[in-house]
Amino acid sequence: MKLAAALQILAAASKGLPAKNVFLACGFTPLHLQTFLAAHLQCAHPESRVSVATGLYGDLLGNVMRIPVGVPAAIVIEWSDLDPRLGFRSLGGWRVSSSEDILSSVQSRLQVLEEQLRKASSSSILTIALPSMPISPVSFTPYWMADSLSLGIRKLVAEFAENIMEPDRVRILNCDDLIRFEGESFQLKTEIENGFPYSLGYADFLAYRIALCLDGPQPKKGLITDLDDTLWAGILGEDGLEGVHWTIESHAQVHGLYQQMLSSLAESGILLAVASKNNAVIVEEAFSSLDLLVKREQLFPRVVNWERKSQSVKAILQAWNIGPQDVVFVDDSAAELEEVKSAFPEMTCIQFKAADVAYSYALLLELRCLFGKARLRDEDAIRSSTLRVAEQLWIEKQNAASEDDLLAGLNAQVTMTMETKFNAGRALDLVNKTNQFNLNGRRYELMDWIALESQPGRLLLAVEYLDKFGSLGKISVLSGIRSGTTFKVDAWVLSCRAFARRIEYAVLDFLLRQFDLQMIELAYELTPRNGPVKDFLQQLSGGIDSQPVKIERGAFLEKCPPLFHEIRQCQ
Amino acid sequence: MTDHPDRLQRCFSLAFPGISANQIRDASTASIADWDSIANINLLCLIEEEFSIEIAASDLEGLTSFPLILQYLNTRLSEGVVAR
Repeated sequence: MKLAAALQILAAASKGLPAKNVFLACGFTPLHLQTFLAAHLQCAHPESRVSVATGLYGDLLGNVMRIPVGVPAAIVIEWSDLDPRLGFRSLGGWRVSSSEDILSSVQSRLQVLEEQLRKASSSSILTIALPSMPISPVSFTPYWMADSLSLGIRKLVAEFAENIMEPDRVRILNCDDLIRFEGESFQLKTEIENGFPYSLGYADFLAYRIALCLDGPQPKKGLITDLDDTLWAGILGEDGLEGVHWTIESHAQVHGLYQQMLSSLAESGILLAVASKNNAVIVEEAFSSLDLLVKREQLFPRVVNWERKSQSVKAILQAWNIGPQDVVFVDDSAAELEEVKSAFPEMTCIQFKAADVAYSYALLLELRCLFGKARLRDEDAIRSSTLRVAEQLWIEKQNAASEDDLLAGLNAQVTMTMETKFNAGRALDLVNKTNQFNLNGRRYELMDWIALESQPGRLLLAVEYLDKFGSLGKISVLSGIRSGTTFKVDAWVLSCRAFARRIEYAVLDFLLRQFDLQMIELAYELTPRNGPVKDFLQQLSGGIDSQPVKIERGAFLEKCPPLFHEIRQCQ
Repeated sequence: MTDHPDRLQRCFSLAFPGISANQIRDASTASIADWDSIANINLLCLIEEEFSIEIAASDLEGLTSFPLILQYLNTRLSEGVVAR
């Protein structure tokens, strides 16, 4: 992004929009980093007017202490913040005898910084950029040779970063990513003249990454892969089981790396499926007999036929119960990609090009970015086993005489937990990621979520589900305020993995009985994707046109279908 | 005629979003209250970006108004300054 474009973006943001405030704490003049950061955040939040506040020049520590409560902050550290002799604006001497003193000064400065950052992180989400400019030529070694001083300093910084990192509240920019910047990142001219060390290009590059780390897009949920010349090299139907490869010996390492990535994604809770124009029998044989790095049970459904790819993709989306915007489709054929893209414009479609190794490396990094998460939760680990459950449930559904018979045979247990803490756990994750069964689509910043805890009468209900096929983990979260015999719900989500089990009815039934309620009021708002909530509420209440939607006890009990769950309650 | 005045005007309008188009052509450090050191850095960066030139530190002192900057640009660009 050019500076002119960044200023245009900021000038175009309407003053009437709600404010989104961010704090930038650095010891240098924030200048263009502030402008680019505001512009990138503005692009990501067109519904708000972004404002990036800064502190005082040369006072990184003080600026960390100035971070306003509840305001997300970026802390950008440079070497001169740790000792001015490591920068270019002071003339404190680059004496050989200074090394120990510099190391000691860096260590004590980092300790104080760590202490202040811990305090700030108790009330704000922080993103930290570690020093990325060159250390001044303070050491006696030639510049191409590492020296004990710079190694010692970098070790201290790495330890500081490891100590302070906490994925939900304190995130650290990846230094390996920052060195990928092409061009001059450091500008001595502006450092000396203005106290701003970065070239314009690097300021933009860094600001974009800070914006992503502060407030990046939600990770995608599923990946659909082609098989021939994508998951493996070769055409299974023509070359047979012996003719497909994915190893370095057979010059097909890129396919092996791709399989390795898919398996890793599956372990982090990403749904994987196959859409292939192929012979289904041979494909199943391949998954049974070939020692692939991604396992058969990690891929569900495997839709193998000679239909159009978009038809197969449609079937997979239905099985997963998620929307195309949350899915990535990978295929080696540009024509197949185009056909799927035209059917699902919101889907991310990526071509696999094994012959282009540099491109393949970029693809692996892109997949990590599209699916990357700050931390893994217990639910991520069990998500792949949920696929097997879905497969078994589908089979049972075909055999059951009725839906009631099917549900009665599941031996389902629903555990209701009244949580006392509104924190950065699974509950907030679920509220912010769920689109379909989401009462109103509201997203919460961590600090806004935590603030709910102090509201009188505010309750947070977390719901876990288990049946004979296994656990789905925590799949629903509801929050609202109880007032006498009325419960006013303003946040309610149910994971799409748990649809068609009447859990939503069980939740309302539990609330009515637990608190002896006469009325549940729901702050429903229609969103482009919450059709399942709309259908559910329409079925239970007379109408959903007036706000809030009201469900009376008598009407609910009359319209609620039979429930077969064993309800367990935890405090 | 060159398009330098219009391009320079765009730089000014981005650096000083609060001033009107009419004011820009007569703008100077004396007439624009917002023209402080930070705004000056922004303005010069925008000019460097727009005209693909690098402005030397020794030239900065005289660049205190729209007409003076325009005159500077006309001279520099007519000399065939090496683009960055």
